Amino acid sequence: MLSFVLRRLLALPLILLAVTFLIVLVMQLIPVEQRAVAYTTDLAQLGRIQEIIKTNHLDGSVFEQYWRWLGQALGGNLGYSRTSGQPVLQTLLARFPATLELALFTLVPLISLSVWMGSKAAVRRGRTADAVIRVIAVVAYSTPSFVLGVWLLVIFYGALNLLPGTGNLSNDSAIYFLTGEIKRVTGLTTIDALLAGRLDVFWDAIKHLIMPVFTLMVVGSAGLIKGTRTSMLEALNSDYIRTARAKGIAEGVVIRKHARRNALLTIITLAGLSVSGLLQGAVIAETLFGYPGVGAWAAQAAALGDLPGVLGFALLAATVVVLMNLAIDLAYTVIDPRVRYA
Amino acid sequence: MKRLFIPLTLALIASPALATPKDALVYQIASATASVEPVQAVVTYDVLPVQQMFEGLYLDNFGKYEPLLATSSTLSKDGKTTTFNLRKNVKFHDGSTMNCADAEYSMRRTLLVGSETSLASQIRANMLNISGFTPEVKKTYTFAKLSSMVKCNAAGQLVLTLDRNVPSLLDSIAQIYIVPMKALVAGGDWSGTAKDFDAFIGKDVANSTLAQKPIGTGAYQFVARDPSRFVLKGFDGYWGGAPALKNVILQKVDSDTARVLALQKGDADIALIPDRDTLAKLKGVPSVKVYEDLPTQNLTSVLLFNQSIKDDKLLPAGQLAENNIPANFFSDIHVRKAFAAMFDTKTFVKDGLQGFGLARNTSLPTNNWADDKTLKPPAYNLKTAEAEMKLAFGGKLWATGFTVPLSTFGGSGLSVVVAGIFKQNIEALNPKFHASVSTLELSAANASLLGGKLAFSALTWGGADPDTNLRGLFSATGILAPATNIKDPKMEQMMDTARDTVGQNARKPLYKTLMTYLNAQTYAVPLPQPLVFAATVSSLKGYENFNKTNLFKVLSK
Repeated sequence: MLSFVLRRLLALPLILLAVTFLIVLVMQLIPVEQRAVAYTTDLAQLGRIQEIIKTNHLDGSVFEQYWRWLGQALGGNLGYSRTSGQPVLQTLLARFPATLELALFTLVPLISLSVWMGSKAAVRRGRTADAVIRVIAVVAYSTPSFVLGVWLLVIFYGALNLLPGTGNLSNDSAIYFLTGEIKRVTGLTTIDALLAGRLDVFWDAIKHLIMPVFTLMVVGSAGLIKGTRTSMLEALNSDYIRTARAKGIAEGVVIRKHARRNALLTIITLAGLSVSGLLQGAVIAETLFGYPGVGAWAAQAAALGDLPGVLGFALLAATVVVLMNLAIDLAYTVIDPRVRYA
Repeated sequence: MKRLFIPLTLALIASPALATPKDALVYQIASATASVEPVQAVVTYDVLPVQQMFEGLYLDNFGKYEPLLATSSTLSKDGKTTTFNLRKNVKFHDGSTMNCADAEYSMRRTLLVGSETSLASQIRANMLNISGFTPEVKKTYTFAKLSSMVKCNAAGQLVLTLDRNVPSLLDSIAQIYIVPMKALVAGGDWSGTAKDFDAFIGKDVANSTLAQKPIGTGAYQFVARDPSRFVLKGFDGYWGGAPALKNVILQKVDSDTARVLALQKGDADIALIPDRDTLAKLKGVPSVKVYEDLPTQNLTSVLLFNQSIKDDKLLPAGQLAENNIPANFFSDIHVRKAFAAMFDTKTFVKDGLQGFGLARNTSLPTNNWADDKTLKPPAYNLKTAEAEMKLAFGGKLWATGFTVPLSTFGGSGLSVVVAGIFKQNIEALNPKFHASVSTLELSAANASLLGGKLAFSALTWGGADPDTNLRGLFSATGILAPATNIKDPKMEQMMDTARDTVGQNARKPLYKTLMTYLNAQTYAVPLPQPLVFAATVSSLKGYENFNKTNLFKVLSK
């Protein structure tokens, strides 16, 4: 088991190398002058394109450019992000806690609700509950997240005035963090507010989380509901379930202990993918709700051709995906004793 | 798509607006402030906070230069030496008092540090005619040279001595912000001596100590920032008196819908409005004040013709065919005049600017001191266009015909309107005249423009001095030379004479002559200038003045 984990962790740098190299490689498809133009902010700077190319070594081969970036990165310098006006590493460290907080608040309700709904639909197959849940899944699947987000803003912020509009805190609460009155301990706004004993700020942060969390949940739930339902149906139709029922075991126990446990392998795989998908969803949700996480920054960096920023986000995203896959593989061994890694 | 929701939003809003505090300003913008290092900042929302925290010796007050940290200045007869009298009792945000050494250090630092895309680089290009710190430039650009150029005299005046008369000097001076030398040196910045001169030459200082902890003399001082907020507070020790609005939050909100909602609900005092359609919907909302026709500052929009297009798909110079144009198509003055006469400005204002455009007489910004309202640029007239086309290429163009490539730029509705106007009028003129329209992504369009590949291009240009504007647009040494390929020694001579003459009064008639000549040569067509639109909460006062100065200190509630 340990050697399996080590092997997977050792593969991480190779994956990161491949991902970042691919990004640099794809960037070469854009002519050098055009890439240099992305560094400019007004027409007057167009006259300095040759300087920009030289300063940023844009005219070197893809290997030279990649090697230069890699040399810096290995020294702990991921470059400077023009989008944030800060070094990439500093930007990631400053923004990742907000994305993590968003993901954590999304994950628990997303997975528990989706698994519950998928199981319910499978158990009640062909009945009203199944039909309703399937419709919900289809609607969730086909609703563009930005449309949903705008509707939420219009209704709950604009019309009903129930929830705050954008950001992770109102300006009044944010000042406490900005002036150091509330210390940044974990980086998670809700936890830090609680640690400071500021329930008002905690509640403010929670209110700011509701709309982006709901948007991410809707986006991520469809696949998980449908996957759980299919997996549960498969389990419920298997021989061991028939045997369990024949032995007179209560239906609730059959579902919880036998069917759902056996369906868990698929569910966990899908849930793991949902976690990875959350990073992509965060790009839209954070942009829409002005949530100051890495997603909103990455979207802007990509739009402005901020290559160090894009590479920094890719490193983070790839690391999350690899670690998530590792966690899924390890979870298999806990759920199914037959699974062994050498 | 998102904008479809804005009308719905406006319809749904029923709750009363809750205003921000009376002494606070919340300004919601679409992109975050990145670096507030004053020598680097060129992007709108980097420049905005910089202008509140830092001050220069002069202020550009809508094209009029007013003393700020200087009280006055004198210019030598040859225009090469400027002596600034400095304001007394000016405090920095750290409590220290500004003196001539700070002004000297700040000016020298601006002429030393900053990457090729920095404000400092633009200032060096204007003041010193240095386009970049190439190895050749570095050989002669020494600390001794810099310190002899900028120095304090025994009377505590700052003396700037340049190699030549720079007519747009005050434009640069207004953008050289005065910073506290001691604080910067203590923070590891340039020592102000020859010791580390080479290490700082052309250095990108976007992440400097000053950018992290800005200290200036402005009416507002830095409080704190996070990824979506930049917080300022009024500086009690400000020499001009503390500002009316004590606290300012610049808040980044990406979503257009969210910003519009925040403005209506009073969560924001000023919000960036995405377009005039949204602005129109806000008219009549009681808590919101709408501005439809504010003037632009130092900006000019022009349609430039490329006289030598660098595109292999085109015909060699002088050859004609119905399905193409020659590379030198626009070198023929009759072609240029015909195209200028085909440009329907009324349709452009109606379709492109939704009725909010200012008629132009020259290629200069409308607020420029040398702009002359008596001049007559080429006017829309299809009969003139036909007559000019019949003269073009010795009369052969009318018989042969042509197909001109028109480019629209992704995301720019104005370029679509321009292309549409030309296509319609070109093809109505002669059945052998055609236009093929293609779309370019914006960075590709800029690269094509720079590479001289575009037949003609509509663009917005800027600059405070007429020389900066006109040289950039038309001169063979200007930044846009690859995009225009104008070779006109007579024009260059007129431009140099106007630049080298000292004093606005003496220069003004020279520019009138130059611009009359430019209109006659039709190297470009001045486009109607788009007017600025904005929306604020109705309780905010002074926005018209803010639009001209960019200073929060002119705002109140």
